[in-house]
Amino acid sequence: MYKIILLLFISTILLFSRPIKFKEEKYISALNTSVYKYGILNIDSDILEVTYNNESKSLVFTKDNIIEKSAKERKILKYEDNLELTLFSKIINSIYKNKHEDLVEYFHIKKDNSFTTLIPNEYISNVINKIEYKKIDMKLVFLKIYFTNNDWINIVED
Amino acid sequence: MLKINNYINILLFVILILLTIFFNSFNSISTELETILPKSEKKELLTEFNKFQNSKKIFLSVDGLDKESLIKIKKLEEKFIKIDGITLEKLYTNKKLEKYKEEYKFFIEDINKKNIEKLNINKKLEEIKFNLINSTFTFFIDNADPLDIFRENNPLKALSLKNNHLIIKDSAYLSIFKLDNSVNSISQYENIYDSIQTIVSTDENIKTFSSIFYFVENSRIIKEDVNNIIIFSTIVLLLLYIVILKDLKLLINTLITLSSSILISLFICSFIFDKLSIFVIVFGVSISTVAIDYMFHHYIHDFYKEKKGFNKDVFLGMITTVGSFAILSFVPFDLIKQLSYFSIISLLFSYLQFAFLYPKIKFSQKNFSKKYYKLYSKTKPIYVLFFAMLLIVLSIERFHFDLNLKNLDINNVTLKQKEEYFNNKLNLQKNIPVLIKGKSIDQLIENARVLKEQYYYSYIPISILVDEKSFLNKKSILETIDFNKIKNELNKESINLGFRDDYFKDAYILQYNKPIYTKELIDDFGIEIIKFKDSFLTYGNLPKDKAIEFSKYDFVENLSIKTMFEENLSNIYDELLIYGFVTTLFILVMIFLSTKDNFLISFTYVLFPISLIISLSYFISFNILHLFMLFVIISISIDFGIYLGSKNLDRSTYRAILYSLLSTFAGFGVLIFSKINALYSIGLIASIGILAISILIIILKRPFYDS
Repeated sequence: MYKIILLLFISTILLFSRPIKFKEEKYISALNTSVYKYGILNIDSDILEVTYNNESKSLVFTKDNIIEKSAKERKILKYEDNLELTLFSKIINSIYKNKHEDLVEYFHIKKDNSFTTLIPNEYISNVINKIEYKKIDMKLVFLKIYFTNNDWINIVED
Repeated sequence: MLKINNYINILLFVILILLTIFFNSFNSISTELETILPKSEKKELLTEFNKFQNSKKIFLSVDGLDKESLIKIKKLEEKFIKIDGITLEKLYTNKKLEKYKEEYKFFIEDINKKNIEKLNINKKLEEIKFNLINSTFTFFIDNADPLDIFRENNPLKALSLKNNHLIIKDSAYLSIFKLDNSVNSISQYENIYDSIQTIVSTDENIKTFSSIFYFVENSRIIKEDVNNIIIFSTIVLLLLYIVILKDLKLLINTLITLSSSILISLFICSFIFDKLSIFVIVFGVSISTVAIDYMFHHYIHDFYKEKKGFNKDVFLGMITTVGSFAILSFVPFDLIKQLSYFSIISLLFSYLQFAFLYPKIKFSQKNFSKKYYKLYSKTKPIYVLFFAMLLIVLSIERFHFDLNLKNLDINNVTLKQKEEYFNNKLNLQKNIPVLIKGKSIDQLIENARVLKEQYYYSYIPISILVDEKSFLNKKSILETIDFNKIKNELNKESINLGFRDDYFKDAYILQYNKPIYTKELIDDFGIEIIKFKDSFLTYGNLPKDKAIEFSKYDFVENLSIKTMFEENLSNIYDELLIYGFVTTLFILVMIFLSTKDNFLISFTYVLFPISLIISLSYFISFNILHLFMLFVIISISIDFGIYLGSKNLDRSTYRAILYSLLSTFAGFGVLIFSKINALYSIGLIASIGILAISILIIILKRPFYDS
């Protein structure tokens, strides 16, 4: 029994700490164009790190705050002052760690066979129209965030 | 033998009980401090102000910003909203108000002069484009003002959000609840208060505060204190009467008379005043110990056994005391009026029974001890008078009238600390609530904007709206800016930089229709206004340290009860002294008329207590009740002066006076044990006064009969 628990524990750590490569497409409505970025997600039990390949910038989401690292500087941001980054970290945590309870505060969760839709509550509905994502086992098929200014972001795991 | 006279007293008592119950007289007793504020427009405005939901919010905080604290506050919220009359205040902005703000954006926001002077549309568009491409998520452009020509007036806020929950920056999670409009009575406040206390129990990390807690806690503190004082005083008096009178029939009758006198005073006063301060009831119990003097003098001089006719001395004593209260009742301060009316009715009723009914009931005098107390009684009145004058002269310079409300109120330290905590955390400056008036809604908005402009960190919800005058002023300024030219260049440059053709089509569309307001529209915006007489009222929180400055605006009413008290007290200070002086003159005339030959002795009984009381100036500042009690003590001590200056003076009079003093001390003196400053003040002055009379009885050279 203990061996099974130990095995599960080790496999969970390995799973969470594995780097996840992703591709991000950001559609900018004002310019009627899309911008593409590639990056790596590192998910740990306490920390979530996002690094973009073509930029020397990374974001580290810790339990208490967000650290924005670049080649030149290191900035500490508060969750309460950065709603969009807070939401992003909660969504990623929810998808990869199945922590849905954090999302309930902001979204109404609608699941159907093919994908999950997050309908924002009144508080964030002036920023986000909706979020859709699909996950098969531990792999993110897509995560699409629709903003109220008609921009959208689509993230897919490589 | 069954005689009707024996039962009149009981019959009257029963009738009075039924009347007070039938007319709900006890309901007029109030523990609220505003009860003793005089009737004025300001008092009416205070009542109106209390109708604003904003004045009745409930704040809840849970220390810490960790997950446990969040879970804890959410569980508490769930329990709180189950309490009748409470709803959780939503964080979301009012959609109708948001639409209005969009429509009149250019009239609400200031023009950013720097940006307009150095306006470089191409550079600004380059910046926007950079942000659009490089932002982590998305970049929001203000479609109405993409070039940032206008600047939102958005002062720093002490609050922010974490995990979609309101927080006090860096310290605690916060929830704000509002009370339904229907919650207005003390009993409803009590239900809410008790339910909340049960939920939060004794967890030190949880803090709750609402201004309605003051109503509940202070009312309970006062009620508990008053009950204790009344019980204590009643027990002491009962024991005293049992020891002195040793006559069960007389004791029961006396207690019935005194109870009836309180009931009849309460019954009549409840028609004169809307609300009767609970202090008046305590005072009423104490004043009944003055009324019992009339019984002592009649009884000890055997008026209840033998047919002796009319006791002139007691009548003069009574008429002087009642007359003094009648004069003091002209002081335009409701508490003094209430105390005076109550005392007059109570004393007159008791006197009538003791003087006319009791001789008919007949009580036989028990054998009193003939023991003679050898006292040092050689001092001539003139020496005492000289000493009293000297003491007055020495003390009068230090005499200081204190207007501070805390000298009458309950000092609820625990609740004050909680209020201070939320005040400090929620506001960037110390604010006090005020009421803002306007003849019309437009005038109300104009007044609010004047204040907002003057005091940047003040909180005045209605000042977000634009009044006609501000609208026209801003319109003339906006007309000097060529927005068409700006818009054309913006469209041209944006297309050159790769923006969509019609992307800036909503930019700089100026709305030149004057806003028209109705009460319903303002309600829809979630802003509270009230129609009061021919004006409109709203509220605001203005900086405390600028109170004198903003009070100069005639449309601002500072509604702090403390300020209203102070203003009222400083207004009546002169009148109180004038009526006090008239009372003293009246007393002197009465002494002169009743005790011509022994005038000096009687006069000593007036002046010596005054001098001792005034000498307290060395230790305390005099509040309104100290002064009132000073005049009451003069009017009580005059009774002793009249009895002791009377030609009919005998040893029985001394005994009657000794008993009177003991009972008056038991009635008024016990008030010094009260935690309520108002009652303590009365007790202190009464005790000093009684002490002074006792000293005189011991040291003053006795009149002819004794020598």
